Amino acid sequence: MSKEEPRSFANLVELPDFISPLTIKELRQGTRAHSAFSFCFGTLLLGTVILFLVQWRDQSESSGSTVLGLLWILGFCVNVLLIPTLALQSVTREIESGTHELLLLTGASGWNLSVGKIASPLALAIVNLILILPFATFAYFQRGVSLEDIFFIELELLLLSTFAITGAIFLGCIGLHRTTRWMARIGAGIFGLFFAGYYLGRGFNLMRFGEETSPWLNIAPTLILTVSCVPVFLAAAQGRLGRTGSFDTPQLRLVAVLVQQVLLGVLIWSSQYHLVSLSPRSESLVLVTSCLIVAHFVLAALCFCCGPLEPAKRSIAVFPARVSRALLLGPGVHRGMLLCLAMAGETLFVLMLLGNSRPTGSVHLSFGILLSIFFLVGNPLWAAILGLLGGRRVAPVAGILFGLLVNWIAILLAAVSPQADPSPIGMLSPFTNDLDQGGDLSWPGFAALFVVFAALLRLIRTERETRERSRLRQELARPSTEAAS
Amino acid sequence: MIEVQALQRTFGKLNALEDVTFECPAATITGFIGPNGAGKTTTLRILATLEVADAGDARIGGFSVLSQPREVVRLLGFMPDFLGAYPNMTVVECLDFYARAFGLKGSARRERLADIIDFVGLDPMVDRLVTKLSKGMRQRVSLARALIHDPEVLLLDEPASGLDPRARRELRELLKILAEQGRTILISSHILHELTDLCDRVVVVEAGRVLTSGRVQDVERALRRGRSLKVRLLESDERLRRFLLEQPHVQQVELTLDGATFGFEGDEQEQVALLKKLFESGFPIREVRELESTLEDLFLELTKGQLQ
Repeated sequence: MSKEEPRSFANLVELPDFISPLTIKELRQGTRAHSAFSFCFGTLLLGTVILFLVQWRDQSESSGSTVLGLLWILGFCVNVLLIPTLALQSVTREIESGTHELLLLTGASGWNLSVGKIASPLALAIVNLILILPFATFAYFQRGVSLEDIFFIELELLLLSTFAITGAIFLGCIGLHRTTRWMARIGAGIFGLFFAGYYLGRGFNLMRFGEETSPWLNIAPTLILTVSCVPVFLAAAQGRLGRTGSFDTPQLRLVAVLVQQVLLGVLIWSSQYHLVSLSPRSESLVLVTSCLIVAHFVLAALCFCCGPLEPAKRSIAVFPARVSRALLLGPGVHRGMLLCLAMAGETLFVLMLLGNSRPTGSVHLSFGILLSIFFLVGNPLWAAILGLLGGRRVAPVAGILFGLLVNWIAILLAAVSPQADPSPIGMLSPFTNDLDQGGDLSWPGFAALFVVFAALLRLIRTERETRERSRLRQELARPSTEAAS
Repeated sequence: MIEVQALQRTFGKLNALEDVTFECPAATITGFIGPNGAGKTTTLRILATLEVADAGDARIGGFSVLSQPREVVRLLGFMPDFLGAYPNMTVVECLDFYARAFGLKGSARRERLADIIDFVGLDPMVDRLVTKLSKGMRQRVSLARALIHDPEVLLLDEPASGLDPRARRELRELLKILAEQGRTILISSHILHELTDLCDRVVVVEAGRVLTSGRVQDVERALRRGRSLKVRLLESDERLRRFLLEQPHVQQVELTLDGATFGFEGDEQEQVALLKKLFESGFPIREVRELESTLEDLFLELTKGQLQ
């Protein structure tokens, strides 16, 4: 081997050094995966079928809108439901096979790992969006949609894909064990159903994009959702994958809430400026608001229901003060309270706006105040219950009780109020999916469901660990015939 | 180069490591031997900064694995007891990825890749998918991955486990070359004969405790209360047993088909005197030799087969 002329490998595609190695690895793996081709082929096939069916059945002038609505559903299913599943599997496989640990030995940071994991699924999502474009152009020529509509559909799908992929990566980091992994997948599936319920409804209702309000206002909730949640998901994933600790990322979550508030303010201001009524879109605002409440619940639940991965224990060993925060109290009482304050302020703000835009303002306002009080006292109360009960095993029970308490009191309040409006009840009911009944306002209810899920997860893990320990004890107690021989 | 200080590690109520202390000087091969469940992998994982000890610390090249893990990982190459390869990646892509991850760039990376592939003998396999390789070839990929950033310290966890005799011998040759290059190697194994002619030093562990450590010869000398001698005669002679038992420092005489083996606790002068007596007594002696203790003998002598 001559030193002057390094050998080149014929079948190695040389990629520039400035691209992150993890991104290169993910792309190399991704391009060889059968699923990538299956998704692209499936999109092309289904797009063609949609075009033929609409051409055959719908001769009206708005057939273009029908095509676009169906393409929206297709794009959503592939980009927001299927591709994130690949991302989730990729992360769990990485942890399971031990390659995650080998990556840490290269000096790669948690950020490198989590951002690198996005590359392949996001590239696939973009390819899929490009594949949808020709069909959308066909819809444009069929009339009923504008180029602006197509642009906003593509943009919103891209934002949603980013949101869902990062969310999947975050969920993929949860567990080492098969049970944990499957529970996480089921949890993600439930989350996806709620999420899809709202967005797919737009496609099934064949809503004319941009017809009711400005298209930017239409897309704004998704934009805010993505901007505020993606960094939180990534930060949580990097904490989990890297050497720094667990899911404990309260500062970033606080920043995300504040950013979200500012963006909501901009959205509301601009809608007032354009004299567009907020009411038709108000549920979207609350959806966005409650998403972070969900994120808070989920992260808090995960903080105590999942032990840190092995390398993450280093920070706990080096900084013993972190033990209580990382393993027991989740986000930490003080920072958690700050977060609750921010969320309470935000909830009040949005509910006041809702109250002003609807005649039943007093119910909304009183409900908003009640909810804020619960959020204010909720986290310290939770921490106190944990402290009193002392064991991690009972922590999820406290979480469930807390969630149920909020639900029961809210329902009680709504029932005794002569001006009772179904919307606040719907907001806390996890099973309502009627848009008129505030069905898409059911995220806090879902959060309570997630706490139940976390509790089950923890109980299963605890039971398994107990069984494993007793098995080991029995094994140690039994004189070994092998040793004797 | 590697200093391990009072490492302790528990998993629930199971004490995986209890006060493990040893050291590996620079440019030596140290065998880390012990039965299954003795704490070898746990110790190596702590040294590789993948796990944290409950108490104690270890230093590699002067850096603490607990508080300076980033400095430590630059110095060491870790070959775990699993392959850790990615599906859908060829050998060269896999190694190229790790080279990039370790910060090698441009021609330096290509040069290092070529060298390492040449060194471990993976040339004909570079375009094959890693997951399609045989066990022996996978171990080579794993070794190449551990060596890609040219580390000073190598931690090898059961590198020969599951290999056929030829692959095992080839791996041993590679490790010898690496040791000659001045690298410090800590190699764990419970297959002792693969370490016999490879290691300069041994650390014997059982049930999370270090039973003994040091240079192989020193450990042998410390353990060996006497030596084993074997006498072969031209033809079997019943009188030999009685004759030997009558001599001072002789014990545990066992007759064989053509002679006897026995333990001798005297010094070298006394051994010469014994042999002289043997010849003078008229036994038709064909061969007298000292039996060497293997690592396996030492290991069996030291360990009690405690399960962990």
